[in-house]
Amino acid sequence: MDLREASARVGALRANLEGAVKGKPAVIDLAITALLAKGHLLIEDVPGVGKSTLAHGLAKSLDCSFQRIQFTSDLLPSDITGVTVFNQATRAFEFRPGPVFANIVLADEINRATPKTQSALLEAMNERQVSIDRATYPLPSPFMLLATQNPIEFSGTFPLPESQLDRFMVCLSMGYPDAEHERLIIRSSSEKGPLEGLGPVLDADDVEALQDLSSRVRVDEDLVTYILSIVSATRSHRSIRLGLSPRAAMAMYRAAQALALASGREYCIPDDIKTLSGPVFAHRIIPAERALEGGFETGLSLLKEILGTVKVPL
Amino acid sequence: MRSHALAVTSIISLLGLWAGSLVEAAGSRLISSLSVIAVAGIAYNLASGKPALRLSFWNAAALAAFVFLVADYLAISRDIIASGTRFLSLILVLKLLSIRSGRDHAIVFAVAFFLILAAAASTVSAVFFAVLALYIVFVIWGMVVLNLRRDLDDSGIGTGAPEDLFGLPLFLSLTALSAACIVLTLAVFISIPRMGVGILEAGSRAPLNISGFSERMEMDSIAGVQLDPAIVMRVEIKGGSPPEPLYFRGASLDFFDGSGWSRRASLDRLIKGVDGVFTFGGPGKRTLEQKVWLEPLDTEVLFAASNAYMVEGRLQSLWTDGSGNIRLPSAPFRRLEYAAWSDISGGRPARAPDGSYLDASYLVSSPEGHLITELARAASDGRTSALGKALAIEEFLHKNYYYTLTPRSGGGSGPLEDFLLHTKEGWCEHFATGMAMMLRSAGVPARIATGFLEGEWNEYGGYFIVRKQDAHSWVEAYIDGQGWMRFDPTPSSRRLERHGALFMYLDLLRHRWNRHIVNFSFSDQRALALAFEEKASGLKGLLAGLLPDKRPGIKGVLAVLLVFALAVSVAVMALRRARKGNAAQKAPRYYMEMLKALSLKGMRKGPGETPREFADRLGEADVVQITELYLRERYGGERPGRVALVRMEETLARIRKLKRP
Repeated sequence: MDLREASARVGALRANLEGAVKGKPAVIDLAITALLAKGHLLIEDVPGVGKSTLAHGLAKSLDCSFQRIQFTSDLLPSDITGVTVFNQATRAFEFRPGPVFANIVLADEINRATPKTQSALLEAMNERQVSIDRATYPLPSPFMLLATQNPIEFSGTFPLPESQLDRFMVCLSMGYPDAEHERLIIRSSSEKGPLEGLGPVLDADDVEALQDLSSRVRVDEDLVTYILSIVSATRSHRSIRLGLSPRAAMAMYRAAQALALASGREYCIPDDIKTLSGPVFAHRIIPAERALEGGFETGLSLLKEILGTVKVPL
Repeated sequence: MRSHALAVTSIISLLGLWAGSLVEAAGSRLISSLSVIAVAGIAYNLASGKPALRLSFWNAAALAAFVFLVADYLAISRDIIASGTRFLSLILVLKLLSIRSGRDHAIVFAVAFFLILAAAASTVSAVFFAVLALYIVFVIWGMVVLNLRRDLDDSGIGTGAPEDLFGLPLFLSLTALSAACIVLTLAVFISIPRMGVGILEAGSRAPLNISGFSERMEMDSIAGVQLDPAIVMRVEIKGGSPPEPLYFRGASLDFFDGSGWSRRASLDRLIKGVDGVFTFGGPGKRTLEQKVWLEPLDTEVLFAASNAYMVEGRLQSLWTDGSGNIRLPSAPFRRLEYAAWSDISGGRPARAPDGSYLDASYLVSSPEGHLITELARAASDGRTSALGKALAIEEFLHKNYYYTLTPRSGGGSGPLEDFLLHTKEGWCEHFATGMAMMLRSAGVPARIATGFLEGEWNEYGGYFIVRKQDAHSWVEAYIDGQGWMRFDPTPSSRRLERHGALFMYLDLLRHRWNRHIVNFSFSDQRALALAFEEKASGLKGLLAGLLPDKRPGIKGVLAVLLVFALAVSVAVMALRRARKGNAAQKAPRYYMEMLKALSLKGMRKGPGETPREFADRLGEADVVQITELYLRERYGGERPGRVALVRMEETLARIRKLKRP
């Protein structure tokens, strides 16, 4: 696959998604970026702004398997990963894969589950495999976890631990649509659902090929330095308790490559990094004033300040 | 912070105006009214937060000021320093009233600097040093504040900049920095002597107008200067003030024609100095060593306590005659510094003078001449010796005549007759003339000497301050066996007007300034170096074993310094080159050129701003185009094609013509 073909494929995917989620091109680009960078996506927003629609739309646009898990407080790890059951006929234990064994997995309202259940996803997210009873089962490729959570409702929720947050490559917030698009959404909703008539435009092979191409996008040495300067600035900032991890820097590197490819470029530019620093970095930063609610917002404003001082390479 | 920068800039501009007011011909009234306008404008700006003048007005006014400069120079003053100072002061105030960007601040600094430069060329006032030192302190401060502000603006946190940044610690450290600068300047100052000639120096300062000291002296010439407190010279006396009053003698005149004195024969002897030393005779009974700083005068006469027999100074040649007159080849246009040795015993041994000193022909031709001869005879009171006659006549004039600067008109046939026979009042001129003519009529050779009385003694500095109002004339009479002796028939009229200690200190400061700063010369440098060498000789003794050459001398030291300076500058240049080369290899040339062109127009890319963000902010299609080409080459490794490069030049040209936002 060359750049031209990749651009065409990405363009088709973008057009498909724009049919489902109207008026949110930036959000769609970020979702595509996460997909191309083999990353996982956390969508954080109030109910009813189209979090699930985006996830469903992405799943439907791809010709691959899709599973949705609604997280609740009584959900068990085995409800996600699957269980080993005794088969009377073969007289052997056999593994019944859970819903995580799919190309695209939607974890809806992920913060409603207990930390134990949440952490069942850790291995799947990072190593793309599931270990049960001394056996390890690889997840299908491509594998992408889409999770949503509601930042407003806190009763009966378990905030995601830092280790898990760090494993989401991109954390985005949908935001309300503007008036014009909202009118369009209401008008069209009575005719048909937003996802109706949405057909697959990419198959699993295409996605793998795009991911492969993305990992070969050129990143100048100075841009790596730029990433590292931002990361180290967060570590020494006095208002930040926990700065960015090497995993964060790695995620940024891959995300920047993917965004460059999604923008039809074979090379990264400083803007890729700067644009992505909010979605990729903000949710990983723990500000010193943790008591402050809406840590994401604080992280974002701190990042903005840091980005203002870190020198962009020329 | 804006008001902080504005305050510093305002102080600098006022310093600039102050320097401008030191330029004598520029018109201090104009500049002080400009200062008032400036202060009002600053107050308005600080209070309202916006400049007092609009940009269009500043443009028009600057143009008008330039036209005024040309007209001023061509038609009014014909003096580039005076008209230039007026122009710069005007521009300074206009700019101060329309300050917008950091560049405007820098312009104010520069204009103030030029004003200081103009003042440096045309003033010898000690106030200048204070202005300069303050300027250095504040300009460093201002530049640091401006740079900080620019950096903060660039980083995007300009508005939230901490105010406490500009507190006492910053000020103290900046002042320390400035002090270091001044020390460094002093080092440079000491190592480079004044040249005394420069484009700006010649003609920039009119010499003190003073007459009556050369070929001719009118009877009323001195009265005019008797009230002028302008300082003519300062005389340092080795060993302190002598008990008897000193007479700084300028010239002697020997021919009286009824209205004034002139010289019968011009000076005839040209003396070339040996190593700057001129000798006119031998030491007498009482020797006085003096050092004279003579302000620029429009006379070529050299003044020294009478009677001088030796002069030393940076002079080419001197004219002299047998009667103790010393003259420069031409009137000095700069302050003159020389040492003189005089015999102050009051007499000057000489051969008997020729008949011209007895010439009383005027009295014969004057209608009332015989009355004066009678008067002389009566006044000499039957004495027969020349000395006796002279003392008697001196006594007679002291007792019976009154000193005044405004004598009545007496109805006589001339000023001499008026004075001696009718009004009996006058100033030193009349007294001296009267006595000289009476002596001549009594057969004693006599002549007029002009010069200055000793003036005011500055005990703090050990020197006399001699002013124009100390101008004086007296009589020299030839006494057999004694030679030429000095007689002063003028009754003491001098109001003993003592200046306060503060004035004396200030004058000492001015004197030191002239002595050590303005007239700093090669010989001072040599003296300094010799003193240093002497002090360092102990250390050198220690090092003598290590050094191959025991006395490297000044030339050796200079050579080492020169080589050192050369090495440092080469190293600095190499470093800068290396750094430049490093920076240049990454971003393509055209992009850097575009950034430079834009920043000249005030559109500066912040360090935290990506090229694309910058281009979007400006919203110029040309800038976007070049930015995209740059990104492709810089990060994508795709060099633009030949056609694109050619078109890029056009695009760059368009960008250079962009208007300031």
